[in-house]
Formats: sequence, structure tokens, C-alpha cells
Amino acid sequence: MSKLTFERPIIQRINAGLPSKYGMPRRLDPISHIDGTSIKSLLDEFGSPLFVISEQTIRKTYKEAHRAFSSRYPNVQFSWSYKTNYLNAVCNVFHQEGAWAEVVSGFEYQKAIENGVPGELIIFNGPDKSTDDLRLAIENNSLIHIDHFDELYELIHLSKEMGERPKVAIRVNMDTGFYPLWDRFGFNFENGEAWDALNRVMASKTLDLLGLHTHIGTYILSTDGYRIAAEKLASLAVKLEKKYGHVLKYIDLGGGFASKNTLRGAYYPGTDTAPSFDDFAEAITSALMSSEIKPDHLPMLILETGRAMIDEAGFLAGSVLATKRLADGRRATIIDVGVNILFTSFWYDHDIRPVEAVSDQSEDTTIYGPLCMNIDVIRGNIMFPLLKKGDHFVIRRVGAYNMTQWMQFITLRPNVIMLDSKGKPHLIRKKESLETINSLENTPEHLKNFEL
Amino acid sequence: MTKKLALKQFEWFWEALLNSYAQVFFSDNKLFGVALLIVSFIDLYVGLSGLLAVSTALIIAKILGYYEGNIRQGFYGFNALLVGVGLGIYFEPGLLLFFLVFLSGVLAVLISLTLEGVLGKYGLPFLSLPFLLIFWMLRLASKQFESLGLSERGVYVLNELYTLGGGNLIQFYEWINQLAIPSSLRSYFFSLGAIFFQQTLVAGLVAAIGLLIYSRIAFTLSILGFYIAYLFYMILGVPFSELTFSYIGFNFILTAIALGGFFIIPSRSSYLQLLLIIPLVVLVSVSLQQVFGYFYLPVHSFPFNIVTLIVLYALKFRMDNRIGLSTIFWQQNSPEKNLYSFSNFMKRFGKNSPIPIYLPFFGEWTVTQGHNGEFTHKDNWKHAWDFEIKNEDGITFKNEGDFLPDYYCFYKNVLAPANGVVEQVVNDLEDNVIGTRNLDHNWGNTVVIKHGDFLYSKLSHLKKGSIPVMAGDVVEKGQVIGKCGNSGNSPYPHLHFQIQSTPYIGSSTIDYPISDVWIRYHGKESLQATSNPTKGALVSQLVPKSEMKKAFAFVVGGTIKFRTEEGEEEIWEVKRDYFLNKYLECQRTKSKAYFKVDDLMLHFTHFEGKRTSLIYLFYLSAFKVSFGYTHGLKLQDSFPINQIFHPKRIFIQDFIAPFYQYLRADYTLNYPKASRGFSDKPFTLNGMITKSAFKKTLESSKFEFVIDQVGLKSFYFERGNQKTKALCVRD
Repeated sequence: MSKLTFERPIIQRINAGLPSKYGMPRRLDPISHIDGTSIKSLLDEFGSPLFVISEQTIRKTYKEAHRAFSSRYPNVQFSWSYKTNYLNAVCNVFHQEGAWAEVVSGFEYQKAIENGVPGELIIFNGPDKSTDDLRLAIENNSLIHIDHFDELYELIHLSKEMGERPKVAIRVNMDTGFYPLWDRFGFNFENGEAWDALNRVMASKTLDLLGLHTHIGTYILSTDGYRIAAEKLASLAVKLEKKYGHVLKYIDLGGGFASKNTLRGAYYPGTDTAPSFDDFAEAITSALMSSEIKPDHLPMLILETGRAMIDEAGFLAGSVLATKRLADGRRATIIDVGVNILFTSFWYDHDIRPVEAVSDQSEDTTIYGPLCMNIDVIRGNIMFPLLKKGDHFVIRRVGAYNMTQWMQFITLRPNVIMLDSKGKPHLIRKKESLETINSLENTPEHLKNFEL
Repeated sequence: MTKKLALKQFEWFWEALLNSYAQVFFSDNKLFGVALLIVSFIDLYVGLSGLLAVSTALIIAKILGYYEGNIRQGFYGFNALLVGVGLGIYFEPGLLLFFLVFLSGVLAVLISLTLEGVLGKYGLPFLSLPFLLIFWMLRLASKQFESLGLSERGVYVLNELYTLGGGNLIQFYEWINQLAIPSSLRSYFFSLGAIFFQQTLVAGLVAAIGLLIYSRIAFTLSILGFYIAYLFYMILGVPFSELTFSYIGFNFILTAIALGGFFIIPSRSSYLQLLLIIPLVVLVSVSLQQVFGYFYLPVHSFPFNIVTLIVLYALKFRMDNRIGLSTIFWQQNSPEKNLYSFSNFMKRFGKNSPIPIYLPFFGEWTVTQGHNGEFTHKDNWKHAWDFEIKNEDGITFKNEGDFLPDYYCFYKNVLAPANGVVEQVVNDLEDNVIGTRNLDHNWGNTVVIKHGDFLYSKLSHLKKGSIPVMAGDVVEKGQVIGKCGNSGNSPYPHLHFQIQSTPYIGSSTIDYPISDVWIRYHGKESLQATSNPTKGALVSQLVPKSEMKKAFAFVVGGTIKFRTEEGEEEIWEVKRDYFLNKYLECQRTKSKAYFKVDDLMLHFTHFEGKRTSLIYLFYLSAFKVSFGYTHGLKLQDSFPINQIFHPKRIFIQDFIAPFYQYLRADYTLNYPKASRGFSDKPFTLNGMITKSAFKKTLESSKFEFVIDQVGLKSFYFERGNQKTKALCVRD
């Protein structure tokens, strides 16, 4: 008989009989494998912590989203939102599945071009487009979504200067019943600014108006907003056709679909509350189909959903650094993943699981990151099993935004690997080292030496 | 100038005249017509009498104003010709004979038209029945005409030949007669000649050569028919001589051609059936001879007429006229042409679908039960499809599949498969809990739409209350007519789709294909013009692109202009003929390229005219074009070989075509490899036409279309060193 693993003693109230209003005591099932590959072996090979992306899950999610829309609407196109995760390997999985690119800066634009996306399949969004960026986008026939009048004027100017017809769409913001209202992007629908902008585009005669764009918010938990947005954009399209006889090529409903993560402070878990792709698709497509747009003029429906596409595919595995008891008696576990690489822990109560089956018991625990900063809290309180130093854990649904918004602070950013469809790991971003950081720095000659 | 005009005015006459001769063997081959004209003139008066009868018939038909197409085809001439020739040989030449010939020419037209009216209703040809009626009538009447006097010329051939061509012709005739030809073959030639009442070897020989030039298949069949009868006579032990046999021998030849390859698509079975049918003709002939003997009348081609009509009529009562012995639905007056275009048509379209019916949904669905399905698509309802949506693992639901919304197809839009009028709606049956069925209302919530006479579609098991249309509503193709549900005999959500010929819920189904289906099945992708997707196939529609429609969806009344590199301008008009077939016609060459076009695809079907023209190259290059495409889509098709190969090249192939085709002409069209977004830059479609024999490539040509936002921009064709480039001229 092998030796039993040591389990530290705890004191817990017995919760027998009928479940109370808090429900049954919850036990976190360990996750030992991702796509059939053992997390422990990955940590051994690539170090801890480690971002793991499942290619299989990306493709599956993409197909599910595509199926939800294409089985309801004749002409659907997805566009990968680069800011959500612009690791080249990730972008290319989406491009292989057929997604175009949606970028919001010159840097992202270059990245898409570098990945091999043809210029005409790049949607250039956002308030930040330099003159040079615009020039490049015009040359490449990219779809430029105009955010403000200054950009509109600059485009008209550039089109005359370059003798080209830039392909543009107007970004519209509107009241869809969600607050805060994202009125900082694009032109407002209710006060007539959007219609004004469309008239100016049509009057310019040098811009090629192809579409309308809106993005009503982020992490939207109700589909009704999308229905309203689609109706409002459709009404603009109908007005354009009435006034100018101009038929739009596409309507871009942006993204903002919620993933299955649980928002901080939410009562119910995200897995229960987040609408499915089918729900969003039904709201959007039924609004477009029942609009007054003529059936043979139905525009292409473009979707730029990022979070809901990639969140599920990302995992962050790591190790426990220490456990301690806080002054008030609560348990604290310190792990090697901090808010600097898990940015989304500010928004979500992340689903964090042990990798190895440790104990049936769990304890109210605070999980801290490794940073020497008070804000570095991954979970404020969670019923967590009794992990000890060196044990492994994995955090689910970290695919969106973390690998773009992470920062190098106190610790270095870790390896990112992708498990291909057969579960074989590929290193897609190397962990940083001292040289990575130092190579960017320049120490003036007189500061190179010192004596202590 | 005036001379030319006069010639042009009579052009119809020359065409009709030669066709009238050729029609005796069902042909419209002018050369064959000339050959037979010559044959008829082996006896001068017979020839003249025949010519007079045909001319009379044609002019009468023209004056009375019958459809010129039929006159040109010689339909109203060939019976008159037979009567004329017959009269010429039986009676002494003279004014009275020629008057009689003239009269019978008129009568031939009238009887032809009468029989066309009567038999046409049953879709049957009148064959040589008018000739028989008139000829028997005159034979019976002539007993009273003393002044006519029976001719004996038929017996003294040499005299006739001498008056016609002098001693040389006699020598030639004798030489031919002395050729060492087996007696059965002599009979064969005599029989051929006897069709024109010319029982000479020369006549038979010329007719046989003409027949060979006209059609290899008809020639083979004529020999086959003759020898089957010959052997049968021997087996029966019926005594016969060369002469008596050839007197009715042509019945076997004509029946073999008619049923073996002219009215029935030549095939292994059409050849084999002759083994049964020719002996039947023999029996009919022998017995008819007994009956007609009492009246001193010859049976002539009556046995052929009877058997051919009986067989053709009986075949019409089959469920499907395209299996086994396939009857002709588009007569091109040549067994070869009929065969090549039929087999090509079957390969390309299989079933004809005059009104295209499309898939009734968006996106990609899986056929979970096809025709003759194992669950419910049986007996009267065997021609139906069940559709569901599957994920990439082949599962139709998410989660555990315990609830309706778990199913991917549930609550998805169901569309009108074509324009039509809503006939019936049931919208108030509860959707079943997963696993249970409502057997009281098998079809559940259902919409029946009428698309044309005897053409209805039925969509069943819809969601309760999801149907926004009512009976009597006009619906357009693609309009939402409900949502997929789980009502009726449906244990889990699916869409039942069937085509039927009556407007009732519960009507039995008909076998009617779905048009323009993009199919993924067992790892193969294909775009099928008409499709009957089988179980397990993933089906969807390609979304048509507007620039492709502008380039290739020709509208009747429109014109297409090209300017070639040499600076020549070509103008093609889009027209529609008497039978509503659409075609492009080149103004300069009058060449015609026939096509079929629907919402999603263009197919060229047939070409008539000059093969050196630009329009011919265009016909080849745009043989199959889809208006929607996925990136890197590759379309493949094959041509009817007679439209591609030089007639010399297919001469040998023709003989064995009903059994094996070693010549092939394949078509490939490649679409752009990558998506182009909304780019207005022109893009290129290119492709290849490959001719091959025994799978070895003989020649391949390349072509290229450049297309931009406005439509077709340029067209390029390359065959060997010959390069043709033409730019589209836009107004």
C-alpha cells in the first residue's frame, strides 16, 4: 500500500441534510488534460506559468458561430477582431476558417498584412488611424470604417489627392437600451449625425460607401440590443436606397457577444446566463430579414465577435507558490499567475481548477498573484481545495484580451503554446527573458558603471 | 442582285426538297437527300414523277401556310415522294399519270396533316401511313382507269437505262450485277432500292452509301435488321426468293432504324430488342400478305408502320421513359446526334426540371433521409428528403439533445423553394416533446406551395405558429414561409421536403430534382445542376455574385458586343425560339448557341452553326458557369462529342457509340483562389477544354474570362497557335 498524501487539517461546519439556500457544497472537479494532453507534462516541458490555446476549440467555436448565422441568413462573413488576440498563430486559425481581419490601429493593420490577409479583406476600425495608415488602407482597397468627421474630411481629401475611391463604411452608435452608451465611437443615430455623415459621404462622390457598422458594447448579456441595432442600421440602409438608389454591400454588427465567463458581482454563473450564438444570430438575422430591405438586396452580414470566439480556447496553467493563513483566519493561496498576465481577473471571477485531484474538502480561500502589489488578486474568495506548494492549477476561459493586454511587470510574460487538432503542443510565443527586455533599452555611457 | 434574291426566296424549297428525300430514312442530311434523288432517277419517269409529287406537296403546304420549320424538314414531302415514285413505276408515263401524281401530291399533304393531328396527340409520328393510304386507294381505283395502262418498265430495266445513259451505263450496270456479292447481301441492296421501287443493285448501293454518310448507327441497324429477318425466314423455313424477299425486306430495315436508333436512343438494349421486334415484323408481314393478297394489294411498308407505332405507343405507358429504351424527347434527325446529346444531357442534368426548385433553407444542411429512405420515405412517398443540421462531429444537437432548442435545425427559417402561390397551410399543431410522435397528424404543420401546373412542393413538421403565410398568398423564392419544428410524425426536429403533382397534404410524391445544389459527400465536393441528394450528403446553395450575374445571366432581348483584336465587331442577340429555348445568335454568322439559365447557373446545351466563329468558342468556354462560388471552386463537365470533334474524327466512334464511347471532351472552369471581398478590381475565370481518346489527351484549349463590376470585360481563347482575344464593348 502506497503512502497516503498528506492533507492539512481544516475545520468546517457539517452541511448535512437538505441543501440550504446556498445549495449543495460545491466541489471543483480537477482538469488534468486539455485536448487529451496532460497539463502537468506541458508545464514540465514549457515551464510555469503557461498559456495553452486549443486549436480544436477555436475551430469548433468558429464553426458553431458560423453555423448559427449562416443557417439563418444567406450571406454571412466573420472578421477576426485582432485586438482580442493577435498572436499570429491564433489569427491564422481564424483566417484558415475563412474569417477576414478587423484591426483598430496601424500596428494591427501591419500585422494582418504580414499574416498574409489581402488588403481588401481587412476592416480598419477605430478612432486611431494616422494619415499614413489611411493612405496605405486606401491603396490596399481595405474597408475603412469612419469614426468621426475629421477622418471623413481627411478621407475625402486623400481620395482627391490620390485619385482613388476609398471603400468606406460609417460607424454608427445608438441607443439600444444598454448603458453606458458607447457614443464615443462613430456617429450617433438618434441625433441624426449618422444620417448627416452618410449624406456627406454620398455628396463627396469620391468615396465608395459600402456598408454600415455598429458595435453596441461589450460582454452583452441580452440579445435584444442587437435586434434594435440591426433594425436601426437596416432603416438607414433603406433610407439610403430611397434617397440615392444606393444599395449597401454589407452591414457590420460588430461584436460584443458575451463569453461564458462570469462577470465579477454577477449572481448567476456566465455558463447559465450568456446567450448562445444561436440566440444572437436569431435576434440579428430576424431583424434584418423582416426589415424593409428588398430580399435580393440583402447586404452581407459581417460579424466581428472576438471574445466569444476565443475565450473558451485559452487556458492558463501554473503552480502554487505558497499557502498562508490571513489575519482574519481565511486561507490564502499564492500562485505564480498575476494580474499582469491575467488582466481579465479585474472583470471576471475566473474558473480556476486544480490539475491533480487533491482533496474532497474545500475552504474559503483568497487567491493572490505573485506580484508584490496589493492589487494582485486573482480571486477574492472562492471555495478552493487544499492545494499546497508545487501543486498545479489551470484557469479556464482566458483566450480573449489577456494575450494582448498583458504587461511585463515585475515578472516576465510566459510561453504560449497551441495544441493542434491532435493535441500536439506548438510553442507560438516564446517567454520573455532578461535579454528581451534589455535589448530594447539603451543605457547612456556615463551611466554604465557604478561602484557601490 | 435580283437573281440572288430570287434564289434566297426559294431557299426553303431546296432545303425542303432534299429533306423530303432524306426523310424516307428519317434523315435531314442534304448529301443523303441528293443520293436518294439520284437513285430515284435511275428510272427517268419514276424520278420525274417523284419530283413532281414532292414539289406539288411542298408548294401546296407553303401556300396553305403551314409551319415552315416542318415544311423545311420535309415532313409533308416524303409521303408525296413515295406516292409519286410508286405511281411512276406502276403506270405508263403520260399526261394523265402526271395529273394523277399532282393530285396525289395534294392529297399527301392533307392526309399527312390529318394523321399528324390524330397521331400527334399521342406523341406518335405518322411515318409512311399517308403514302400507304393514297397508294392503296389509287391501286384499287386504277382498275377502273383503262387509259392509264400498267407499265412493264419495272421489268425491263435495261431499256430504261439505255434511254438514260446509253451503252456505258448499261456496261456499268452489268458490271455491278456481276460483282461477286453473296446473295443475302444482294437482297439487302435490293431491299434498300425497293423503298424507292427501284429493285436494282445500283440503286441499293447508292442508297447504302448515302445511309452510311448520313449515319453510321442507322447503317449498322439497317444491316442488323435485315439479317435478323433473313435468318428468321431461314429458321421458319418460309420459302422466299431474292426478289420476293426484297419486296418487303425494307420493312425490316426501316423498323430496325426507327426503333433501334431513331425514335429510341441507340443503346445496347435498343439493339438487343431488335432480336424480338424484327421477327415480329416478319410475322406481321407474312400474315398481312395473306390478307392483302385478296385485294391484289402490296403490303409495302405497312408492317413497319404497324410495329413501329405499336412499340412506340406501348413504351409511353412506362413510369420513366428514360430508362432502358429511352424514347427521344428532342429529335435531331440523326441517331448519333440524339445519342450524344442524350447521354450528355443525362450526365449533366439527369432529370429535366423545367421549373427549377431550389433548397428551402439557408446554410448547409444534411440529408438525413433521402429517396426510398429506410424510415418513412417509402411507397407513395418515396421521393422525399429529410434535412437536419449537423455539427462537424455529425451530431444534430448540442447538450444532451433533450429539448427542442438543443437541435441545430430547430427554429431555423424555412424558405419558399421557388416562386409560387401558397395552396395549403396547417399551423396549429403542437411541437412534440423529443422522442414522441404525433401519428394522428402525420405531416404536422405544413405548407404546400404551387409552382406550376402539377408541380407543388410540400414542407412539413414546421413549428407551431411559425408560418407567416396564408393560403392564397403569393410567395417569392427565398421568402421565409415558416420555421423548422417538430410537429407531426417527427420524434426530433427536422424538415421534410417533397415535390408532388397534386395540392393536398398527404399527396404522393413525384421524382423531381432540386436545382443547383452544392454537395459535399464523402469528402468530394460538386455543384450539381439538378440533384437528388442522397442520405448523408451535405447540401447548400452558393450565393450568387452580382458581377457574375451581370456577365452571364443573359436576358432575352439583350445584346452582347465583342470587338476582336483584329478590330472586327461581333454582335450577339439573346433570343428565344418557338419552343421557348433561349439562345445567343451571332448576327454575322447566324450561329446559335442554346443555353439554360436560372437564378444560380448558366448552362450551354447545344450549338448550331459555324465552328470558326467567336460565338462557338464562347459556347465552349461558358459551357457551365455558376454565379455563386467558393474560393478555388472548380467546375467540371463534359461536352456531347459531336459538338466538339470533327465529323471525320467521330466516324469510327459512331459505329460503337451505343456501346462504348472512347472519345471524350471535358470542360473545367476555375474560379479565383482567394476571396476578393468587395474589391472592384477585375478578376479572372480560366479553364480548359480537353479532347481525349481512350483517356489519352489529344488536344487541350485554354480560355479566360475577365470580369469586373459591370460584367464581362474580355474573353480569350487559345487552341494551339490560334489565339483569339475579344473585348466586350459596353454602351
